[in-house]
Amino acid sequence: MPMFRKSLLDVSQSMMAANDAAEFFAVTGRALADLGCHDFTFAGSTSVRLGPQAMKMGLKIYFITLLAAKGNETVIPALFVRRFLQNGQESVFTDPSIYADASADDLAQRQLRLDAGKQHGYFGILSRIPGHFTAICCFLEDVAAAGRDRQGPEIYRKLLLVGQIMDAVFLSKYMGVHFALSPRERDVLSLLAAGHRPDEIAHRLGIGAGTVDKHIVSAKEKLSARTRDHAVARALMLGLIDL
Amino acid sequence: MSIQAIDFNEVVKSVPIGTEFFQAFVMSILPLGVTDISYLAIGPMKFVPKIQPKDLFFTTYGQDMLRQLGGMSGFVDDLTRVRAGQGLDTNWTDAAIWNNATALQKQMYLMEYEAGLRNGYTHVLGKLGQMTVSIGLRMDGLTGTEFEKHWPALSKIILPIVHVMHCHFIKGHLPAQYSLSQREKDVLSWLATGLRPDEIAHKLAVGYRTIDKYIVSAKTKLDANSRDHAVARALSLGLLDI
Repeated sequence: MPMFRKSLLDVSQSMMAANDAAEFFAVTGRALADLGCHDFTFAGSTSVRLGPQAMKMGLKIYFITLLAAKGNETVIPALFVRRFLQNGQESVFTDPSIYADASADDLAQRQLRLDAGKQHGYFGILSRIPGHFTAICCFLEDVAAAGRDRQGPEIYRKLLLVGQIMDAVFLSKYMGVHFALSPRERDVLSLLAAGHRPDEIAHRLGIGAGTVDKHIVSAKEKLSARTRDHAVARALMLGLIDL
Repeated sequence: MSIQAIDFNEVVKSVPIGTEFFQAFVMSILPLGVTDISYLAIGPMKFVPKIQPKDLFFTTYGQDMLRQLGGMSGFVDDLTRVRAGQGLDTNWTDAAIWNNATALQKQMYLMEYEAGLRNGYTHVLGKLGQMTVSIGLRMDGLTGTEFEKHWPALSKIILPIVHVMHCHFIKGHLPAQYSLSQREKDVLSWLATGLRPDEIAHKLAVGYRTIDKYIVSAKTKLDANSRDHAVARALSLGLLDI
C-alpha cells in the first residue's frame, strides 16, 4: 500500500500536468490499466435521490468518456452500466440484482458475457453533490479468475482511489470545458442564483427579456437540467458559476 | 489534537446552540492570548458586493462579546481577505504579504507593526459551498518579537480549538440559525434535483398548495428573493441533504 500511495501522487501530478482532456483521460487510462482495468466509463448522473425514476422522468445521464483508448467519445453503454448509474450504489458486475427485470435479450447477453468471463468489473461512486453524482465503471476482464476473488476488494479500493483523483481533477479543470456554457449563460445563471428575476437580469445586462429566456433555455439544455432550479443548482455545485 | 481542544469539545457538547456556544469558544481561547476574533465566510462576490448579515458569522472585539455585524468590519485587511479567498493562511507579521500592497497600505501596515498591532494570524478553515470560511485571530497582548517567537507553539493549541468550533458551527449552529424544517429541506433538495413543484407534491403525497407553502416559508427563512435564490443559498450553505 505505501508503494501504491506514492504512485498515486505521481498519477495526480501527471493528471494536473495534462494539456487537454484527451491527454488527461489517457493518463487516467494508463493508471487504471496498471491495476488491470482495460476499459472504463466515467459518467455523471442526476442525483441518487431520484434513483431508478431518473430515466422515467426523462432525466439524462451523460457519459463523459467511454473506452479510454478512444478518448472522450460519447457512446450509450450496455444495460448494466445504465442500471448502475440509476441505482447509484457501489457494486460489482456479477451482482445479479442488476438484471432483476431485464428483457430476455439482455439476459442472454449477460449469460454470454458470463460464459466468456467478461462480466467482471467494478462500479464505484466518486462524488455526490446535490443534483449530481459521478461514477466510474471499471472493466476488469483481464484479471485472472483465480486472482479476482483473492485480491478483488483490494483492487476495487485502489481503482476507487485513482477514480477519485481523476474526479477531483476533472471537476476543477475540465467540467467547465465539458458543459461549455457561454459567458452570457454563466452571467444569467449567476444572477438567478443571486436572487434576481429574469426581467431584472435583462435590465441589468442591457439585453431583451427574450434573450435572457433564450440563454436560460440553452443553459438548461447544456446542463441536461429539467427546470431552472435544477440548472442553477447544478451549475453552482459543479463550480461553473460564482455566487 | 491538543488537550484544550478536547476540553472545549466536551464543553460545547453540553451548551445549547447559539450565543452560549460562542461564549464558550471565546472563553477557551482568550486565556491563550487571543484578543480579537473575526470568523467569516468569503464568497466570490461577482454580483453580490454586499454580504448578507447572516452570511457574516460573527466578529468580536476584545472583551466586547459576540456582536453580529451587518457589514464588513474594517478589521480584516483586504489583502488578508484575498489570500484567504485563495485558501492561504496568513501570518500578519509576515513581510511577504506587503509585496503587492499600495504605498498607502504599506505605510499603514508599518505603522501598525511598530505599534504592535499586527500580531495575528488568519487561518482558512475550509469551504462552505462556494464560500471560503476563515478566521482571523488577533493577539495584541504580545510585542511583535514575542508573538513571532511564541506563535508556532501557540498555534498548535489554538488552531485545533478553532477547528472544533468550526465543526460544531457547521453541524449545529448554522442549520439552527436558518431553522429549515425537514419538509422544507426535502422540497428544496427535490427542486435542486430537477423536479417541478407538482412532481414533488406527487412524490411526497401532499397537495400542490402545501408544497407552495413550504417553498414560500423556506424563501422567507433564507431571505431569498426567488426560488432559484433559495435553492442556491441552501446549497451553498450546506443545509440540504443530498
